[in-house]
Amino acid sequence: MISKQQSSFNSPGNYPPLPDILPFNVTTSEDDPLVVNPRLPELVGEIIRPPIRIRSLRCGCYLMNYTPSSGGLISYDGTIRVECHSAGRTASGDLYQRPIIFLPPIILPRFPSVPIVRPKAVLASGPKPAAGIPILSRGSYRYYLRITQILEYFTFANGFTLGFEMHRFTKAAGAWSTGGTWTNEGAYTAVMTWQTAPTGYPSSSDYLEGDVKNSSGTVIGRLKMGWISTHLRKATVEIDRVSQSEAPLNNGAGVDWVSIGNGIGWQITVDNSDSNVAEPSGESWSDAECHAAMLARRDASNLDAEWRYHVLAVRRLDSTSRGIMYDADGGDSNNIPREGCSLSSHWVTPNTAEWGLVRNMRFGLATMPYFRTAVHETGHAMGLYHNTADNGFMNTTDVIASNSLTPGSTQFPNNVQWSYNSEDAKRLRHMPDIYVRPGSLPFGTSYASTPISPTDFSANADGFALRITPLLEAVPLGAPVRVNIELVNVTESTTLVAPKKLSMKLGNIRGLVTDVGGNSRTFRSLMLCVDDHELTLLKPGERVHHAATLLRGAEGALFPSAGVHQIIVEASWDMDDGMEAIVTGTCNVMITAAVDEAHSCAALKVLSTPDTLLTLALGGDHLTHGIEAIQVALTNPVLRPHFAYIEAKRVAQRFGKRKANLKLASELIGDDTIMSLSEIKKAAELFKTEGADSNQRKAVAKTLKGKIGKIRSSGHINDLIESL
Amino acid sequence: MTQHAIIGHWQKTTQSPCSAVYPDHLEFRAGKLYFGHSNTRGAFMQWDAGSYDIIDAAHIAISTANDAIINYQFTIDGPILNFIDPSGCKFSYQWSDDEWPTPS
Repeated sequence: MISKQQSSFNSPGNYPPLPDILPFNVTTSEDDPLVVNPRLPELVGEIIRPPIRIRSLRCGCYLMNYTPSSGGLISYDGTIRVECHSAGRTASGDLYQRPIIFLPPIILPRFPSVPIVRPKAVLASGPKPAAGIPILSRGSYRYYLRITQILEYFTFANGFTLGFEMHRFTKAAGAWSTGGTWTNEGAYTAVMTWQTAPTGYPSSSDYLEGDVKNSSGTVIGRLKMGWISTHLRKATVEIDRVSQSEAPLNNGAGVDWVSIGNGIGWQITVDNSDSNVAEPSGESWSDAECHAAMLARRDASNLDAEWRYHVLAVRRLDSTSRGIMYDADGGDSNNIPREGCSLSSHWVTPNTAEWGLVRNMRFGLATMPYFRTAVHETGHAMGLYHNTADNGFMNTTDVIASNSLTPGSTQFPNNVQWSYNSEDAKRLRHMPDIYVRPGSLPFGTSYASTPISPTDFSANADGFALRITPLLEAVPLGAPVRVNIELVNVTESTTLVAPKKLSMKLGNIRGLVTDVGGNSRTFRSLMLCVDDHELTLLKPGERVHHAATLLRGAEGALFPSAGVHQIIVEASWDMDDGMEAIVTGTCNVMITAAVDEAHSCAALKVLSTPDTLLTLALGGDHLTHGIEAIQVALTNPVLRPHFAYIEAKRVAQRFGKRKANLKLASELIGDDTIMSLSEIKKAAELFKTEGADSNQRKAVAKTLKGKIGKIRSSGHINDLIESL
Repeated sequence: MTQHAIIGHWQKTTQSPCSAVYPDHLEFRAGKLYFGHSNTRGAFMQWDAGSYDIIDAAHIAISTANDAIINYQFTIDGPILNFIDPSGCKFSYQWSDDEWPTPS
């Protein structure tokens, strides 16, 4: 049926004509239902058009089944979590292997030794969709699905392509506290099409199936997903307490466990349980006593049937003031991590300004921070660490209290942010189950090696160019590579928001070096500055500049062999609404081979000494291996110009009782010394502030002037050199 | 040992396996708060953020990642800050003021 409005748009006289409505659900490709043949009317004549149906992927939790086509009794069940946000969808999933059960043999009583039917292995039945979000056994955990492609908004078609990586988890031998390892088995796609849901699903129209193909296009299995809940995950928080302690149920101002759970898509059930837990040894509890009380008093303990986090409120704690997630390391007596936490109701807040409205108050009576601490410690039990990016749940109470003294802040605890930082919220929604559910991976497992679905909150920064220019296009083997980095507003008339400074130490510059063999090595700063990242307005043509000296990265030497190397640099900065703007730039640099044996030996020394980088970045006299490597480089005529400034910078600064040696430093900075713009500036500052005599200043100023003449520089640096 | 001696930025110089859980960069602030930073995004740090208290000339109490407050032995030798944790792991930091050199 064509609507009146659509019809009038297509009638003669209206311009421009809109395209004809494409018939719904008629496809020319089995592989891609989104492709519709535009010649279809010619091929089939008049079409009776069905009503247009716009489909989108419903937000929430889907019950998932994946059955490989390799045969056998292998099938996986789990969930796909679809989070809806302003930038579309972010999704992730977990798969657990379905149990195999053995049907007993059938034996006739008269012939007990002769079974007429042998024992038979069969797949157990899967989770019931009507039961809501399934809780599956931790021991059956197999895969995390890092979903990289999904229907972001809506489609006129009856399906969409789902793209994902399958990360297999292999648990280490022994208890869960020993952890495990992840292996990315590859990238897969499945064209998921909507079908009528089988019986038992709460929504018949939110069910999809599709064949899973590997990167070669071979079908390897079938994926089914049916919507079961508006929430993404579900858990229970049980609260037990001694009689003198308050139960941390809410913040006294409308925020409770359920609303906090809703904020991250968790369906939280509160079990406000025992109020008469006995004190084993007086008012103050050790970690071991807290753990023992949890085991003795919690209402349920099967963590394969329920995600239950235990909160124990006591008067005081031995090992801390306000609260602790004791179920880690030595506090975890049963080697089942992150089952519970405790908090202290009788700690008294200090009588100092930062404690604001609750200063000198018994903590259990300070309802807001007391409840916040319970949420914070439960966050640790959910696998989260401290996060000081804002005043959210995973910041520490004392840091938030201290932040209240910042001009413009409200008093503590009114400055508490009653939500998780966006990074933590993402972790709680999309980290693999075994990172967040109790009784699985131990507290202290790095996020760094964790697969997690990408968000849509990173975007290329339009209107910018990141120009990367090597100071020298050819650099001898063993020498550091100096590059200039410029972020430029390349628009004709648009002023853009950009970082005020670019710097690896600010964390907004990082990169990758790829050699001719395709080996890639990453680099970022050794040091991170804790200052806020300031933004500024960049007019058309304006630029932000940074110079970096590249030598080593996380995987070792960045330029370990001769040949062309591609340097990719990424600049990123946070925008409003949690979006991250990214712009990348590249350049090539030629690493020339060793010219003789001496050069080869010196390069080997530099490249094989990790402390060379620390000495380059930190200076100081204590990194003897690094200094030794640089001394070797200085004795080599090929490498000396590339390392002379690095040594000059080290000796020009005091270290402990050693005074700055500006005479030696000035001798090291010669006409042939390779220096970036930043290094020229730093050298000028050193000679200005470290008390050089006038002859040394003049000599260095003359040399630096000669260098600056060859590089486009700011007036500030010219003025600095002139002042020498 | 006064609190003043420890205030500022410190860069870890020890790369032993036992010290891997301690941050690459530490900042001790005057209000008895500290902040740890890792060069690896998402790495776990035993000292991520919280409070510290100098108990005496050789001992410092630091709140840790799970909010337990733990006592550590420490010494300050010029620009070098040395720690020994309860397991006997020794590791050091070097003073690093705000005027860091060109990062690499």
